[in-house]
Amino acid sequence: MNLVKPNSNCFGCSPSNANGLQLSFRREMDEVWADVELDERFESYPGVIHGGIVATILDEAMGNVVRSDETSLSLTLSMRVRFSGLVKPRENYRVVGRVTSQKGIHFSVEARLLDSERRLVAAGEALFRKVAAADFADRLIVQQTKPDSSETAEHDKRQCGNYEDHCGGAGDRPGHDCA
Amino acid sequence: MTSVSAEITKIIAEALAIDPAMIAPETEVRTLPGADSMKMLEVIMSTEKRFKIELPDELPFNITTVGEFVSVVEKVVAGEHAGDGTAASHVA
Repeated sequence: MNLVKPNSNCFGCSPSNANGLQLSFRREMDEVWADVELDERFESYPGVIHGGIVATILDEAMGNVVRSDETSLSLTLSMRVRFSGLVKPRENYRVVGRVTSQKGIHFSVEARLLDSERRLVAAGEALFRKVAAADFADRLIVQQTKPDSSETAEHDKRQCGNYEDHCGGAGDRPGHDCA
Repeated sequence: MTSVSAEITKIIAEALAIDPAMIAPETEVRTLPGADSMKMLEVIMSTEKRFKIELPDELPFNITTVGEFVSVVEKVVAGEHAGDGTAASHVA
């Protein structure tokens, strides 16, 4: 059952979201990695990528390493992010995620964002919950076609009384129940 | 040298790829070859994993010498706070 691709609008990893990060992850052994190069759209201060975007990149790497295939979803339960350097637009970085331990459906994971000299510029640690996509289907709004964004917003507002708090943000937040 | 001190010396030496003999309690961390904020985060994360502890985020700004770093880690390992009001703690 494929609820995530190809119609996903994921801000982090969907190749069809022109406003997203379009991260393309590859899996090697027990790790996933993606090359990252962002432009000025994602800045905070001039010449600096926004820290929230960096956190999103780390979250994506950790979520992707937990998701072993397209029949499962990974949900962030908690996350710690630490920064040790500036991330700059139009420079090459690599994010690497790996699982550090697992207890049932709960995964402790970490991710590192490395610059072109493989120096650590940011690190994330998180706890994820892995669920079957089929078990979560009633909480997802599955797009059969890619609608106009304004239509999507109207649809979400009809579905959820807490649109601004829930659907407007991280829709896969645990406990989120928009339907 | 305590076991904590020996372990931290080893962690710092590995992170910076330097001779452990260059590291003493009175050594200022930032004067070590290759030491910068990025390497310091590696050292902190390796220390957390080695001792299964969680260190305060502001630690790099609160310590100057290797000995101070060791002292903070020893306190956290012993179950005490890091002395700065931060709830540094053991990790399950």
